[in-house]
Amino acid sequence: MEVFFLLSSMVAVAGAVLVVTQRVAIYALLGLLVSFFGTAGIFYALDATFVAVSQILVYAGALAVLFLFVLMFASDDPPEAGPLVTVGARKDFDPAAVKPVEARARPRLSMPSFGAALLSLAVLALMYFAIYKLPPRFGEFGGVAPQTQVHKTNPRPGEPLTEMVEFGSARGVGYAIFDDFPLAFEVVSLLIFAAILGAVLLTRRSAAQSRAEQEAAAREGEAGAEGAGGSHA
Amino acid sequence: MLNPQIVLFLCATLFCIGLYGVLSRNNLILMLMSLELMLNSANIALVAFSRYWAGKGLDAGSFSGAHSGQFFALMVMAVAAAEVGVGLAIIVALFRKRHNSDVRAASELKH
Amino acid sequence: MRELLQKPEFLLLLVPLMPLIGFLINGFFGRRMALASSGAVACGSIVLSFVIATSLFVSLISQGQTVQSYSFNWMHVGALDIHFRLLADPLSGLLMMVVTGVGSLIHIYSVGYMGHDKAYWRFFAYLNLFCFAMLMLVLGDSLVLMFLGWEGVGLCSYLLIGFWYTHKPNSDAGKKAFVVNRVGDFGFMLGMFLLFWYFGSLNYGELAAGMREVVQPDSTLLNAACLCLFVGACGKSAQIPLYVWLPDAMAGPTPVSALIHAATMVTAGIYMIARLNFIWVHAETALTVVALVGALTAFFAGTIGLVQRDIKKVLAYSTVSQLGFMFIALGLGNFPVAIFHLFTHAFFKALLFLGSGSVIHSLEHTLGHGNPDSQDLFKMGGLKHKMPLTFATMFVGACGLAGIPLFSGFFSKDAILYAAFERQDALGLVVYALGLAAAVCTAFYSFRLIGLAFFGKWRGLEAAYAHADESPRSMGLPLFLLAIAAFGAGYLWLPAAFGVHFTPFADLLAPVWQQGQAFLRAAQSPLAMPVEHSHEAIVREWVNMLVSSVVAVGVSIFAFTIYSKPAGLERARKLVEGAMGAPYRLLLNKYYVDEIYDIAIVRPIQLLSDVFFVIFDVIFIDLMLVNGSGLLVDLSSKVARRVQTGVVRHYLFAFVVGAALLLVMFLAAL
Repeated sequence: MEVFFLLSSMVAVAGAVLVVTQRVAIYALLGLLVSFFGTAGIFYALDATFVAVSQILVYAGALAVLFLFVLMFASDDPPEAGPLVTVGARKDFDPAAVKPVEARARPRLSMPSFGAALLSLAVLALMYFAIYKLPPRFGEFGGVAPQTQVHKTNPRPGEPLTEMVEFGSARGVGYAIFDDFPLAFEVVSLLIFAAILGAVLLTRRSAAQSRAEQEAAAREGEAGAEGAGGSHA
Repeated sequence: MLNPQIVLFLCATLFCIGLYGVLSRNNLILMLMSLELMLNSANIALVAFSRYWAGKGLDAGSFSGAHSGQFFALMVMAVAAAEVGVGLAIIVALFRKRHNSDVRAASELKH
Repeated sequence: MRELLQKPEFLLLLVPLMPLIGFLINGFFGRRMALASSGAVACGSIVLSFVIATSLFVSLISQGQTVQSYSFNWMHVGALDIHFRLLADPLSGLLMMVVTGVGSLIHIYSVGYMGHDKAYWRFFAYLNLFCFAMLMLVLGDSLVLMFLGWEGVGLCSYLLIGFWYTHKPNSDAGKKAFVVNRVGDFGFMLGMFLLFWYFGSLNYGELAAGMREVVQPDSTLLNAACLCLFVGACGKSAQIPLYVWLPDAMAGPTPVSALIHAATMVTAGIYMIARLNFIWVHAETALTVVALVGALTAFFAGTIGLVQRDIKKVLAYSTVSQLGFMFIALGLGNFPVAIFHLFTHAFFKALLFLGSGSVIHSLEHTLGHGNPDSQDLFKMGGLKHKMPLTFATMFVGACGLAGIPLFSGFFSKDAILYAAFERQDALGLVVYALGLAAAVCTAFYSFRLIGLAFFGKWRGLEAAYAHADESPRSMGLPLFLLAIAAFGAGYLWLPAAFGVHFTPFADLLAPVWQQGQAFLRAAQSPLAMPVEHSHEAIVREWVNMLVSSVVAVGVSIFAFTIYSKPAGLERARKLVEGAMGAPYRLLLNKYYVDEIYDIAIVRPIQLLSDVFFVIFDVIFIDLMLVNGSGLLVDLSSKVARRVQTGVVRHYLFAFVVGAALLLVMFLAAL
């Protein structure tokens, strides 16, 4: 298990480093994916099998794909940065109109990056210090019994009051969610619902907006036609 | 020998890598990715403590004692999903307006 | 609902509520409503209020019962506990009848009079609001509610005087009325505070109970409180020295002059003193002041009225003068007589105003609206042929005002003069002399007005006379009804000298004075009203009645013969241009009171205001406080705004540094 944990953590850290250092967005996303998988491995090494599976499903499956869509849709990387990023870019997107992003012209460790590195390292040192100062009882995990007894809070009539479950299994976490924290669960569902509504509202084009865009496009078309006519004359 | 301290060191490392990313990036999408890294590291800490309490035998009686850490990790995932959904929507809306996703360009609120 | 409508507690609330509803409807929707419906709402609401008031009055109050409405808790702070409750006892019930009755007639009259005005709805909204405020003043069961109405009628008076606000003198007159009334209101408030301080309550019932319990009343304090209240009464009821606003208030529409500045609002001061008679009987000094001020006002206003050219100004000064008569009665401790004069005066003075409005209305057709010529007595004449109904009704009103025997004014004014005559001391003598002189003036200007307006030859623009016509029926009907009331009102209280005991008016009001009179009789004060009339007293009353009749009739005929014939008019003009020039000018300029006030009060205040304006407003407030604080904020924000760069990364850095510092704190605490 230790070996598996070490491998997974190395993968996770490597992916994370890729995320923060890669200049091409799509590679950074790949790094994020790698890091997610590494994290899933760590969860598995910590006997949290259900969370590990959820990690892969939610993060690596859904979130990464969402990021990929948005990257394709809204990337401002210039075409020469790589073929992948400009796939599916908007037709009316004019790379020349984009202001050059100053950071790109700078050396890798420009001032803000240097500051960021310094601050991050300081926080890291603080955290390391705090962890180092932890009481000695955090020095070992201890063994986990293969099965543990749970007391049901709302047993159905005729069913036994207790049940044996495995640590980290879907059944065990299910008891935590629906037996112990149902309110938190409901609140989170509400939050996600609100987020969905918010996302829809934010990305929806208003009728006036799209009409204005259409008109602008039409005007551009006319101007182009006139220009062409003029050159002919 | 695997122990909570080592896992926590790993968490801190991942967290600070993410922090560096958030602080150094100019592209909103990349900032959001780094933020995900930080959330992930917090999840690892939660699961690690869940495992720790299970080892201490806290799961006697109500099971949530040890499992609550994993439950919170799941909640963080849900919240992260919501956050990414809204965050990416904001980025798309911003991109529509100015055709790039550079944070430095979005400073109108200053005035 | 039907059950509710049979409860007097509820019906009494409806009386002031109806005009309020009318006001709200006209105020909010009047602009979009048709002319007819706007007038119908206003008239309907006040007539309904009158009907309810009549039913209450006939069934309960005239039987000697007192009606109280439901009580609402208004404010409750410490010892101050004010309830919102209406009270209709004989006194307030009577005034309620006057307000709603005369108010209804004037509303109906206004439908015709204001028909041409484009702000018709606004007029009716204000008029309804006034009726509401006046009813609150009359029906409220505490001084606080009275003050509410007191201020409310002041506001309406201001709004209605300046009704045609596009013409600056009108809005100036409104402001003058408001400011002068504020001076009076200040006195009223001080009086209220003193009474509250002394009795710990402002409710009439509790005040009366408190007065009963006090063994040795603090007469200094009561005198002070009553004098303060009298300052308020002076303002509202236009007595010296605060009468100056009333003549100017004639700038408002004539129905307003009739309702507010003759029949109801200006009598608020008299009502207030009568209402608090149980306190006033303990304040003999204040009563003496009231009597003297009333007598002086009656005389001086009467003399000014002798020479006014404007038909409404004549009536305005006569109102001031008649109010003075009422204060004489109050000051002599004869409260019911004051209310009696208030009652009859409300009818004949409203009638005279409405009649003059009718004349003005018919002349304005030709002369144009707002033309002062339409109100100038010296540019009228011979109108009796053109406007017979107006003439006949105004003649009745003038007879009432002049105190011609058997008309209502005769009974009430004679009762006042008799009360002064009967007093038989220095005060009584002075008051009687001034009152008699004022009565002479009254008779003179009443018939001068009739003679100038309705007799003789037309002296104005020919076209105006040719087109002068009797007013529409909606104006004629109120005139007719008021004429009946103006003639008949006096018969409700026949003098004892007639030998017939018929005094329903005095009997009705008797319980109101009970407490005060009991005290006075116990103290054997000269202020106590006589209970029985001795043989000598009856003889004196006959003498007094004969004197005032002869004076009234003689002076009336004298004035009439001068002013109804061109020759007499010519003689009068020669007289004022020659020998009588100086006194004439003095009277014409109203004793230069406005000018004296201007020099003595207005100018110094203006000078002082200018000084304070420069020191406080310009230097202290504007420069130091306003600009200084602005400058401070400006400078500090110039520094502070640098923190807000608008760059996300800077915020993030700050956030992380803060979080790290928190971590350090936690670690240090370990």
